[in-house]
Amino acid sequence: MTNPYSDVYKEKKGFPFGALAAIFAVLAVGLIGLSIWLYPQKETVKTEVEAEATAAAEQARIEQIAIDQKAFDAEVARTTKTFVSSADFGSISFEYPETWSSYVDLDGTGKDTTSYSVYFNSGMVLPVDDKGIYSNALVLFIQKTDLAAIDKGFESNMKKGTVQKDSYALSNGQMNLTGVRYSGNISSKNKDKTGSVIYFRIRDKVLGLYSYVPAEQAAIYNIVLGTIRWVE
Amino acid sequence: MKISVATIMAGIFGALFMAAAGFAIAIYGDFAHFSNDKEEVVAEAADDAKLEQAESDGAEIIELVKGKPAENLKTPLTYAHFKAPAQFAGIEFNYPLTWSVYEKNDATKTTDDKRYDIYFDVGTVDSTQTARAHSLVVSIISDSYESVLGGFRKNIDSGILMAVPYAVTGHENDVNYSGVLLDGNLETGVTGVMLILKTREKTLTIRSDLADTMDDFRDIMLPSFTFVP
Repeated sequence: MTNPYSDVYKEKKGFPFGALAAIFAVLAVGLIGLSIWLYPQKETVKTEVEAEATAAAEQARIEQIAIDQKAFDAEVARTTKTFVSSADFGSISFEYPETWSSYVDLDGTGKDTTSYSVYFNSGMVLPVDDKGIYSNALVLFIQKTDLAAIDKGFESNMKKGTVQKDSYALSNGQMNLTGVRYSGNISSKNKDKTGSVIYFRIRDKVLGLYSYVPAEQAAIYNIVLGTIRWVE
Repeated sequence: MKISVATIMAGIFGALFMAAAGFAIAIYGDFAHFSNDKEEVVAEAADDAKLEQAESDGAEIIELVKGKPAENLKTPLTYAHFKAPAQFAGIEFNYPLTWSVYEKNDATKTTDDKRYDIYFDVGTVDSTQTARAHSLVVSIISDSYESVLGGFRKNIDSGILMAVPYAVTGHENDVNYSGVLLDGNLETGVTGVMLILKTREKTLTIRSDLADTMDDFRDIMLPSFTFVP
């Protein structure tokens, strides 16, 4: 006689594990099938959205760079850098706009060992040819001469009234002295060009700061002359 | 206690069902997310990129305001852009903002038989009246490409100057144009890097002789260099 409480009896007549396994199997197959069907669609949608997100991110980055570039350029426009001449020419130093370039043309090492010239201009220094002094923002020229000889060079134009002479007081907290300024047709080569030059005596030489570009006058007077100094 | 085959199968298929359900839910979740939240996903990506860029750029601006030397700021934000006159191969490239630039020849006057040279140096461009090393010199020479390259043949053959092909992107259609990049002893006692490219009947050379700025030449200038062959 069969024991109705044996394990075998319980399994046969009790919980239907076989049916449960079949139900799980059918559901699992169904879900796997559903997943296989849905996966490519999900990938397609995901790829599209990610591509759109990447493009939007790139566009946002470009727009942000443009905003930040503007802010950075505004900061750069307010900053300055330092120019220092060689010790042989008085160790002249001054600040000038960060956005300017500078070029030392004569540095006392070539054939002309007594002259020193530096050209400054916004962006790029333009060719240092016959027109170079007119087209660049500022030209610094040191030569072995004296103020009397320079004054004689302007004598004729001053008599004609095309050049005006006045004294320029340099008082920037670091230097306190007076120079000579000539304004008007100061060029001996081109009577159509007008500008100004300020001369200072440095030991046995004369420093001249030439400017023919009206737009750069503020930077020259406020930044360059506001910070210039040298070893006397 | 005996475990029947049916019980084991129920366990296995049960586990499989659970895994399949989890997988299906995950896939559906992603599908629903990308389908329904598309605008949010795109907007979030844009906002993140904007914020990340602003933080990076902002740091540069703050460093500048705080007085950090501009030459130490080496991000594209701090680059200046050089653009040569169109008749000179339409050369364009980025360079560090703190460099000075000197155009030696008047572009409007230069004729076919003349050179066009532009000098770049950190701070102030040194005199070009005597031969000396510069951070960067861009030249257009009326000599042929073969003739200019031939001038370095001896050093290349003797192994003291390395020559490798170098592709540069032209302005039009993003076409690459091949040149030669020289690296090593360009002249006796002068070590540097020089790119030589053919442009119409002339030759374009870009050269750096100063070790201190050679990385800028390779990392900033060369990757941004374009021209019209």
